[in-house]
Amino acid sequence: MTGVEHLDRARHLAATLREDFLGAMIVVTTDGTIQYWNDGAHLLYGYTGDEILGRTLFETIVPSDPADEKTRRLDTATAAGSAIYESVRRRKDGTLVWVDVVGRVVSGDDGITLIALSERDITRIKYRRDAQVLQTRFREVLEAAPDAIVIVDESGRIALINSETERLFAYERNQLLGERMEILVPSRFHAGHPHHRKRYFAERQTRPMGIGLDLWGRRSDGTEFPVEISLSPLTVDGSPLAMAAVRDVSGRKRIEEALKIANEELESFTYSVSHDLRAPIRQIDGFARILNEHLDATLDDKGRHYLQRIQDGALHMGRLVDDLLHLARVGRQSPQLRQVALGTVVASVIADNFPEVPERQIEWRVAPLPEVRCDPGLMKVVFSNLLSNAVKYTRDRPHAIIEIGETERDGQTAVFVRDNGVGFDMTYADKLFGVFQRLHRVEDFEGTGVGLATVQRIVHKHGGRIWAEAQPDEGATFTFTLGPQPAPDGSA
Amino acid sequence: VSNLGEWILMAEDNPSDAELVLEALASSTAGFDIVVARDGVEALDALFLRGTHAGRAQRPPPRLVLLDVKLPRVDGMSVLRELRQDERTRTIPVVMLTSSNLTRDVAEAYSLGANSYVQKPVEFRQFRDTVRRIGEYWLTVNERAPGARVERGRS
Repeated sequence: MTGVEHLDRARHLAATLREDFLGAMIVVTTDGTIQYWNDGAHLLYGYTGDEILGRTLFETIVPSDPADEKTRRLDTATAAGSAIYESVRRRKDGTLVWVDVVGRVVSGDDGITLIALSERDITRIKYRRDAQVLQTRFREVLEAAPDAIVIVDESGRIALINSETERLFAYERNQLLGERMEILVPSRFHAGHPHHRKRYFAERQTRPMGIGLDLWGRRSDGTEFPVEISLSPLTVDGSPLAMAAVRDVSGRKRIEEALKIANEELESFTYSVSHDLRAPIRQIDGFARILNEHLDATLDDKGRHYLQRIQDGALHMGRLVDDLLHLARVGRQSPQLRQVALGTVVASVIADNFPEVPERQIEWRVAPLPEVRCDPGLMKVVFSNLLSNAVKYTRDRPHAIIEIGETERDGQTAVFVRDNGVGFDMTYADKLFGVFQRLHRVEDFEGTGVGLATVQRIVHKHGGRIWAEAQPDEGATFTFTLGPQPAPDGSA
Repeated sequence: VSNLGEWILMAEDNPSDAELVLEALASSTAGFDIVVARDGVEALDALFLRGTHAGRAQRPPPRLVLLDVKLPRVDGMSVLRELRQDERTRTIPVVMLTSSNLTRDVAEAYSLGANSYVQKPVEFRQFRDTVRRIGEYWLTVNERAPGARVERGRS
C-alpha cells in the first residue's frame, strides 16, 4: 500500500466517524429553527430527528428565558462567527443537562446563514468542579454535622455531599455528584418528587420535610431505611440551592415498634384484669352478703363482724382493681390538648365531688386560675385526686382550709393545692407518687395508693412536673406545672 | 297476667356470677323460666332449638337475653350478631351484662344491635340493684315488639 492510499482511507474514516466524536450535532437558522439533528443529538436529548426538525431550539431543548439564549448566545455567535459557551438544556423527559457548546456560523451563497452547534454533556464534570469549589468553602461545617448533608440545585441534581452521606447511603462521592437526587430515594416516591422540589424552591424556608409522612432513603445496594429530613435554603453565588439534612431513624423506629407491642400487651393484660379479677371480688362480696341475710336471725355480733371483714376486703380489692385500671388507661391515652380555663375545672370538681355536708366545715379558697393548654378530662382527674386528698387529710381539723392558686416555677405557670391537714414527713416524699405507696396507715386514712401515681402520670404526659411540700401536722402543698405553654398571643 | 311459657336467656360462663344474677333477678322475674347457657353455642342452641335443645317443644323466643361478652366457644358478640340476623329473634331485647367496659366492646355491642350495655358493678349491693332494675324495666315497663317471632319487618 502507498502513503496516498492510507491518506484517502483516513479521510474517509474521519468523515464517517466525525459525528460520533462530536457527539450532538445540530444545525439551526439564525432564529433557532432546527435544520439538522444527528444521532448524537437524539442520544443526548431524547428527541428523534423526525420529532424535532423544523421546530426551534427555544420550544424544545432550551429550558427557560429563550430571549436570553437567543440574544446572548446565538446573536453573539452570528456576529462573531463562532462561540464557545456552557449552557443548560432540557431533555425530552424534562431533566436538565449541562452542555459545552461550540457554535460556528456559516453563511451560504444563497444569503441564508446557518449555525452549526456541537453540544457535549458536561453535567458530571460541571457538578464535580462546582462541588470542589463549594467544598473548600463549606467542608468544615458539613463534616462536623452529625447528619448526612445533601445539597441539591434547582434541577434536582446533587451539588455537594458530606462523608456521612457516603457512609449512610453507601456511595462514593463521585458516584453522587451531578446525579439526580432521586437516586437516594426509593422509586415508589419518585413520581411526586420533582413537584415537591419545585414547590420548595418557590417557598424556600427552613422546615422539616413531609411532616407526618413516612420518609425512606435508599442505599446503593437498593436496601431502604427510615429517615427524617430537614430542609434549608441556601444561596451560593446567586444560585438557589436546597440543603437536606438526613438522619437515619431506624433505631428509633425499632424502639417505637417494640413500645407499640409492649403497649398492646399491656392493653390485653388490663383487659384480663378488668374482666377476670372483678368477677371473684363480686362473688366474695355477693355471697358474704347473701350469707349475712340468710343467717340474719341466727348470726351473733362476732359472726356479723367476720362477714363484714370479708366484704370490706373484697371492696378494697375492687377499688384497687378499678384504680389500677384507671391508671393504666391514663397511661395509654395521649392528652387531647386545648385551651382550658382551670378555674372552671376546679369549680366543677368541687361541685360534683364535695357537696357541703354538716359534719365537715371546709373553707375553699380558690384564687383566679390561668387558662392553659391541657386535656380537660385528664385535668379533672388531677384535681379530683388532689382535692379529695386535701379533704381526706383535713378531716380531723375543726376548720379545714383548702387553697387552690396559681404560682410560678422556672418561668412556667404552676398550680398549687394547699391544705392545713395532717401533712407528712418529707423524708418519705419520694415515695408519695409511687403506685401502692402510702404514707398513712389504712386504719387512719383509707386509700389505695394509686391516686397520686395517676396524677403524676397525667402531669408527665403534659410535659410538666409535680412535687409536694409538707410537715407533719402542718398541712401539705402539692404544686404542678403543665410544660411549656404557647405564647399568650397564640402564635406558637 | 300469666307469664306461662315465658322465659329469659342468660349467657354466663361463670357459675357463681350466674347464681348471683339469679339471686338478684328473683324478685322481678317471678313466673319466668330462666335458662342459663354456659357458652355461646349453648345460648344459640337455646334460642334456635338446636343441639341439646333440639327435642324441646316449640316455644316463643325469650322475652330478654342477658349476654356476657366473654364466653367460651362462641363469644357474646357472635351470639348477638346471629340473633340480630334471624327474623325470629331480631327484636328480642338484648342487654350486655359484662365485666368489661372497654370502649371498643361497648361500641361493637351497640353497632351489632344491643339494646343496652351494663358493666357488672363489683359491689354486690349495686350489682343486685342494677340487675333488678334491668329485669323490671325490660319485663314490665318496656313494651315489646308485637309478634316478635312472626315474619315481619323484612325490608
